[in-house]
Amino acid sequence: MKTDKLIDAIGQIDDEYIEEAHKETKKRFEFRLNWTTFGKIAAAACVLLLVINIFPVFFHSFAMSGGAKDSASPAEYGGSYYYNNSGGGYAEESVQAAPAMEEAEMVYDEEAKAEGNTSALRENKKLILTSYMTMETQDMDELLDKINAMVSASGGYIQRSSIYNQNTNSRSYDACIRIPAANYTSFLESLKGEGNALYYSEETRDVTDSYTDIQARLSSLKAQEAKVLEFYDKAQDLQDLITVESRLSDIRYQIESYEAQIKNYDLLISYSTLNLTINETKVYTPTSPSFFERLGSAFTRGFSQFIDGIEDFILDIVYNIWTILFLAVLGFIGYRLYRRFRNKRK
Amino acid sequence: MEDNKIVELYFDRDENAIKETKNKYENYIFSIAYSILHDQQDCEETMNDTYLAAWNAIPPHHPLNLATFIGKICRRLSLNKWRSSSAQKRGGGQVELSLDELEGCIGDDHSFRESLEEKYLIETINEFLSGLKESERKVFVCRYYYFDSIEDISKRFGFTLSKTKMMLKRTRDKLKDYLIKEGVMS
Repeated sequence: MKTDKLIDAIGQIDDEYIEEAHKETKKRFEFRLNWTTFGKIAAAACVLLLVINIFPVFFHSFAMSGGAKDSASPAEYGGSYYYNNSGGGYAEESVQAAPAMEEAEMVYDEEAKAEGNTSALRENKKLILTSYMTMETQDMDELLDKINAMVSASGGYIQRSSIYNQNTNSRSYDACIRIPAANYTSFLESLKGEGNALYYSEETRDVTDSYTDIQARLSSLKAQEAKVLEFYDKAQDLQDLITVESRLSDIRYQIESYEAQIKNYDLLISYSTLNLTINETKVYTPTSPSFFERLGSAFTRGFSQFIDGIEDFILDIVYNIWTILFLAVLGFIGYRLYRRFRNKRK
Repeated sequence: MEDNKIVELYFDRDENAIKETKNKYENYIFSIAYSILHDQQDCEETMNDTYLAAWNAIPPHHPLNLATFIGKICRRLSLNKWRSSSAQKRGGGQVELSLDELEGCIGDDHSFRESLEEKYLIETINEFLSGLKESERKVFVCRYYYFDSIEDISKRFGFTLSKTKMMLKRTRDKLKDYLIKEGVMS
């Protein structure tokens, strides 16, 4: 058979070729590009990139809109608000009185307020103004100093404030500011000039009815008090005195309660409430961006966050270096033991 | 013990020669025999035959490379054994696959010149092998001298299965052309 002849001939080839073929070559480190492995690595890298880049962007724009709670709230209340995020940057005005807010009968929009019509209406109506605002700034410290000065100048006060991520350069400031209603508009205008306002919403609660109601009850109770006092003076025996005394204390208790409500209303009406959130950023979100501006913004912001992500990644590695080294040593020892065990079995 | 000392033992007709050869090359020739025969008992018989054949061949032969010398003996004896037994139990082994591959390479249209001396054929194959790239040559020898499986070859050289197969196919085609060119086949 001719193949037998060939295979026998191959059996007699030069020794060097025979030796060469089965010589134990020291295995060099080989990185074999396996497409499945490559795909897995690529997918993992994409997920990592997503986590590093997309998630912070998402989180960032989420935070700029005032968080889930606040971003949902404007739709629920009558009032005007505008909204501005890194993606779209659209302004929206809502004049819907939602059922949840029964007392929101009066709606003001930005222009009307700017023209000062509100003060005229406020004189006749008992209105409580609560507003929400989200801003971003490149210099948090400077802006906070300015805000403090502006609040004092307008005769208001900061009811509550907090600051997150104190020691980083992406801080977030949250405050509840009370400003006298008369000075509110001017305060708001000057505040908007200091940073990049991303979101604003306000709601006005008309408490005229309940206010006048309480006032009416109060005057009625006061009239009752006067009458009871008359009885008190005329009372002859102890039983009458006790009865009158008891009635009088009831009336006075109610009067005090209503007076406290009136005082509370007065405070709320005379001081408007601004819930302010300020985020520190390196690059401002453009207010009415074109596609190319958004593209540029996405690029610069993305790059900035990418660099942040890389920095964080390096910090993570340095932070975990001892664990990594420990695991590497363990892995190396394990591998050597495995090799020895395998060779012995052979 | 070094090869030349073992060979000296053979020349001295010292039976320790076989013992030393066994100690040193038992695994090597077992691997050759097993890849052809795939049977423990057959392998052991062939190995014993190999030691005997070596005893008879040295002297007059004075092998410079004892490993390949007894390896070649073992391969030849194993093939002979395989041929005599393959009539009963064909199929499965790497030898058969390798033979099929080479048969496909040579084809029915060509035939060896009957008068051709084996020595000339061996020389031609050696020349052919010297002209190959190192990796091609190694893979070819692994497959058709040692009868290693394609899987083992792929693992050993770090190639994919398809790459090894393709490499072997090309080498076979080259061999065919070379044999025709050199007048070994017509």
